[in-house]
Amino acid sequence: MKHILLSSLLCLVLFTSCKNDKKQSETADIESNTPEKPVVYVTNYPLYYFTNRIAGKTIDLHFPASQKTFPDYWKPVADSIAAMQNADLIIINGASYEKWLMNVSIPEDKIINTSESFQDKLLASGHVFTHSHGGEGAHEHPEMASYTWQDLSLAIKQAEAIKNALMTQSEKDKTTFESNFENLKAELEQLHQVFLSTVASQPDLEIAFSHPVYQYFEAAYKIKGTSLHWEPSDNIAGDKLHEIEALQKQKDIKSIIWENTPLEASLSNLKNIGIQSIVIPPGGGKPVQGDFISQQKSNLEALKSVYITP
Amino acid sequence: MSQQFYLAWAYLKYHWLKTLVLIVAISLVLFIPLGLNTLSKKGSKNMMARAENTPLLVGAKGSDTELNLSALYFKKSHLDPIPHHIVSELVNTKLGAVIPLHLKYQVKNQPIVGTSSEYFKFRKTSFQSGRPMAMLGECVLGSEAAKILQINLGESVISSPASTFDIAGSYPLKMTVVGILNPTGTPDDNAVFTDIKTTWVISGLAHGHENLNEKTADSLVLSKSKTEVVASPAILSYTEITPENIDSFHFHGNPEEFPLQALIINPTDKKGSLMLRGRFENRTDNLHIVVPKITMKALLDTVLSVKDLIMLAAISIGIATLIILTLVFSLSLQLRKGEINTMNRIGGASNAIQLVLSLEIIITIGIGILLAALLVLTLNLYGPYLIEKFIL
Repeated sequence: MKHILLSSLLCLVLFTSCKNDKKQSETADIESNTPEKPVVYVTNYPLYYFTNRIAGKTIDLHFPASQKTFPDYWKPVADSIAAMQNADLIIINGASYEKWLMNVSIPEDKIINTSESFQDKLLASGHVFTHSHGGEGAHEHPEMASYTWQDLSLAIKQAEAIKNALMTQSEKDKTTFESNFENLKAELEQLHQVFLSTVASQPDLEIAFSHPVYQYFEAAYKIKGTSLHWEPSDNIAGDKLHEIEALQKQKDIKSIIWENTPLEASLSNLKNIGIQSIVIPPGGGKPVQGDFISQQKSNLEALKSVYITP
Repeated sequence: MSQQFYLAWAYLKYHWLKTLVLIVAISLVLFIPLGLNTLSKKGSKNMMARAENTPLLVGAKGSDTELNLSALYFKKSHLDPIPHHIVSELVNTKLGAVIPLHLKYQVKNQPIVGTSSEYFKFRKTSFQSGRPMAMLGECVLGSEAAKILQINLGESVISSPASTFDIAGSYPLKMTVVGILNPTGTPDDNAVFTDIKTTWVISGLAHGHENLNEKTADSLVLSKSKTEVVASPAILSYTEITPENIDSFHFHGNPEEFPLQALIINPTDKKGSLMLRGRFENRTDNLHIVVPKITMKALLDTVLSVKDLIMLAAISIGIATLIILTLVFSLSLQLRKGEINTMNRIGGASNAIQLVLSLEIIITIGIGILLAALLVLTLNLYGPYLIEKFIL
């Protein structure tokens, strides 16, 4: 009797374990049959926003420099690059934005340069540096201005390049990508037109930029401006105040555009000499609040406060 | 039977020199055609396998065979360079994956293969330890290269000058080993893989040095203005790329025009392959596309036709040798007439005497066949190595 009981128990254990194995293998099969999402890497926030708007949850989107205010100063480590090597797409801004690209090993056929289609419209940053080594001829290391998305017509082209690249990855989502892109394009187009009309209301107005990072913004919306080399953390007093006073006399400047909120003391000193300060972040990093579109709307309101006087 | 065998063996032992000559002659007669056949079969199989796994190659116009041997077996060559912009041009066709190859430099006798991390996926190689190169100045060793150079993960290898007279032409670069591949039984085992940009650093097309704008470099600056700095020739380029100096590395010239030796193209499908081949047919520049399978087959066909001639000669010599051997045995019997008579007189049965004589011949031929088989087996084992060492 004891033997019969033991044998039955053993059979039961074997049967259960076989059943579990089968279940596990079935689960594994289901998992392996689930199509993997294309893995996509982006290098700045505007690209992240455009990609996310177009593809949504159909892709596995990564923005490794998301914690950086200025992702163009991000320096990848070997592990980040090793992860990027296994991606399906690496969407870059181009126009000298990703300086680290020279120092890493990434297959070229995975890289999508979103500014490729408008190489002829790229602007120089003004940082042309020439050096030579003794008897060798001098060689230049020119740099392009990188913040292309400030011109929303170029941003549309960048979004289009992203859409085209995504369409190569997922046949079934082509219609979704197309329709999401059209919605995004309409929003950007509308904002672009309002920026143009805002500046067109006072086309001869001269303004100052705290830093030379607005090349595409100036060129796209025909803003007449002079760039300084000020940081928001600088206290604008003494020499710097004299600098803008001279500019004020020379060009009748009444406003300055900052990358970030300046010091209270600077704001007050500038106000005392009749200079209005507004903040228009260049926008490479993730905004503290809102998204790319809400940031552009906020920039537009700031610009209106300069151009459209009540 | 054992007595006859004993007598036959004793005779062969006593006349060991004559026996040895006969055994060697028999084994060589059998080994030459059999060995040649084995070697060519084995070699063809290995060479075709590598060629079949590489759908298309692009290189400068010239010898198809040289392009194949360089790109597939990393043999030293004098392939004309092709400009780097061809990579993006081919990538934009979306007809296949493009893997660049720069094959000019070495670490001691191990070839440096400048490529991209996609090469490992394309060849389906796995890592014994570590990972593919990710940063400038990193490299991956094939399993044999790691053994020969006696290098472990995390250690460094130094590139050698391209030639004895190229001391100043290329920069010895200390590269950190970040990965070691599992053995594959292919030329990948002997190679040192690095990124294409790292090979440009070795060639001096990209380099890093002290920041010329910093005060520390003043002694090395001949003149300086707001937009231009002229450095002394004494300024030294970094010979090792570290996290501290990696940002100082820059290209001199247009990277789009920088040299490559070949491109591997893995077409998306058969149509893509045909379209690519068609497009290269119509090109007027210095580029051409080859199908390694076709080139290697043509090469092997030439080798095989030569082999057929050698086989014919070997068989003819073999037949002649066998005739001579028959003559040797029959003359030997004539010479041993007295010995055979003595055996008869002391009571040896004629059957037994015939058996002794037959056993002598059988043992000699048997040992000859065994020796030939042993030689063929050895050749079968070391054939691919010999082909790689002496033929390729």
